[in-house]
Amino acid sequence: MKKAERVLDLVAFLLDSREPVSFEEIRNAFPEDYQEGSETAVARKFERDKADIVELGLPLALRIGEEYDKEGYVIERDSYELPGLDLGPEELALLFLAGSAALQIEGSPFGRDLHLAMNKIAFSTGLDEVLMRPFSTAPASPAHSPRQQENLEALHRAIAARKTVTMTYHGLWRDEITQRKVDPYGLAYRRGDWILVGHCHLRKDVRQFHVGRIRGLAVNPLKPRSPDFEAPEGFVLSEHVPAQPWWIRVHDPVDARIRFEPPVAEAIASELGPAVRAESDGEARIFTFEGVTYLGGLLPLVLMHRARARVLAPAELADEVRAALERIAEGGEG
Amino acid sequence: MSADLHHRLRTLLFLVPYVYRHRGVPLAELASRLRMDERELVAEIDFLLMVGRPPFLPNDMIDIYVDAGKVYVDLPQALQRPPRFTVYETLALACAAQLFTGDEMGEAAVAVRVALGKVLDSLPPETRRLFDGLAERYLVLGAGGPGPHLDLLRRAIADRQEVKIRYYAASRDETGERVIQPHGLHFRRGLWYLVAFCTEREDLRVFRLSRVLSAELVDRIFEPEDDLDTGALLDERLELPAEGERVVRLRFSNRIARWVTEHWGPERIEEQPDGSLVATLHEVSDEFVLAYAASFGGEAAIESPESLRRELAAQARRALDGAD
Repeated sequence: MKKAERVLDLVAFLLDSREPVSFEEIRNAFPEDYQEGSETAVARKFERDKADIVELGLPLALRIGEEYDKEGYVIERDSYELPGLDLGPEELALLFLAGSAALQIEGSPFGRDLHLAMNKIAFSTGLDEVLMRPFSTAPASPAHSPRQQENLEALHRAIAARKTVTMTYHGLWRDEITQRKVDPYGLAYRRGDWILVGHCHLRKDVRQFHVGRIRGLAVNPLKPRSPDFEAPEGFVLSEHVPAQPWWIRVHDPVDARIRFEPPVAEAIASELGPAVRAESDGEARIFTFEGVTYLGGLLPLVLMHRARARVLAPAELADEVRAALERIAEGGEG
Repeated sequence: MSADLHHRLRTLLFLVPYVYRHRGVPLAELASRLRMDERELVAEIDFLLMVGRPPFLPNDMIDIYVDAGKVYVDLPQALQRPPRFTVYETLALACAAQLFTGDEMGEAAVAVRVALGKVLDSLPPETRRLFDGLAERYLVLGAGGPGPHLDLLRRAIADRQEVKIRYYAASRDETGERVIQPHGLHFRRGLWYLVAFCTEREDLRVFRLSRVLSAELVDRIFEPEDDLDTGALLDERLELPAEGERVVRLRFSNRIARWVTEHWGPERIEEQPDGSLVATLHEVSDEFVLAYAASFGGEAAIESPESLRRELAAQARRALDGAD
């Protein structure tokens, strides 16, 4: 019998049993599966099947008998079955909006899980007709390439199982291809890109890698169920993946002050949200960017608005902007 | 177990109770709900006919069948409800919820947190322990968050109510008011978009949510647009046209050539003998080209049209004058 069928049969059998089922009874119930071959081979096969059921998130347990109780395996219906969730209409609508947005994240390794989770929420609230309609037909957004999709899914599994990966990485700025061994700590999605954060054995430090620049990737196949590493105590992913380019850690933090003219000033305030402090200066606004650790990360924002943006501080940034504007002005001559 | 088999089994453990609750669900609807095509679904239904519990007598088997395009199931007692959330499903929901946790989201952020909390409370202790160990390992950043108007727009879409917005149109560098009929909210490449019918321009338009500066409900209900696929419309509009009469050529220096190729993909790019790259764009606004080229600080130049090249240089000189 094929594995898929056997696992589902076992689940149905244990769910429907009124009392714990011993291994002997399971063997007798599934003669084709657990009676052919040597004792050790049969035992190993059953161990693997049990592990698969646990991996599916199902509450398979071995009940140890006390006095007159029977000993054996159980899947208790109460622990198995999805309970009703008491979610208010607003909570549901917002959770589904967030879910439907996240389904559109390119190459998301969570796509299939998310879709199933939303199906389950809809089921548990009894509102599956209404809730799922707009979401079920939307296709998942693929990654930029099938290779990237595969890499993302492999990394997702490696993070959960804490398995080391080896990969061929094309560093963009140095334009060099290196072999890396990495303990994957986490994955972040930022503006269309997936970023892996992990301990790099080559650089002996926590590094970020653009998943799109990973060529080949393999998860350590040895002992798949025992972890290869522990992430450092108190590891926080967001500290390694700055939300804005000016928070990349390059130099000591400085505050930058930039004045933007209307009408773009208001749009910038809206776009950057609470990440910057804004004060009005007539129709214009002066923004304070606190704790900037990479002034170069502010350059594109200033330059793209040309005469509508002016750096007030620090002088270093104002100089860089001036030099860049001179280069742009030269590009138009001749 | 492979990831595909894992997913397949979990899908089947959902499919059976779903059909049990919705006996007679149309095959097409069920397939779309499970993101399968109909042929795949029929194959899975055939497979499920072989599943049951020992001693595998006829009454012990899952009796699932398609009749006149509708799916039915009769069951032994097991599998009447789907299993609880797995750790991966919960992580996926938690990642989705991260999109709404910004401070500017106010009550909506609270509602999403409460909803996620209820899902977490439903987890068996072992799954909860695994989730807690992994929750900090995934980060989903939306650029600046969806902003304070998302909740109002969501309600307006549901109630088909018109909305007056103030919007900054970057392609013209101007802010204006307009009354819109909102149809869909979407998330693409880290940004939120609204697809709406603009009553002034009498056309469907795409708005970037972070540029909606204010929004208020108007006391008027609009008729729904049947068969409008707002997601497909958005994807079409976000794609830069591959051809058109107005052609802009941008040259990028070889210092940033690798980044440009990665960003634009090789299709739009021609490599030059000196290692620089030229990208050809069609039907893009002047303001977009000026802002985009300027953002590279001299590493990108407008090759053509000539008038736009001179305009960028003049604007840079004006900015230099203003800064002195």
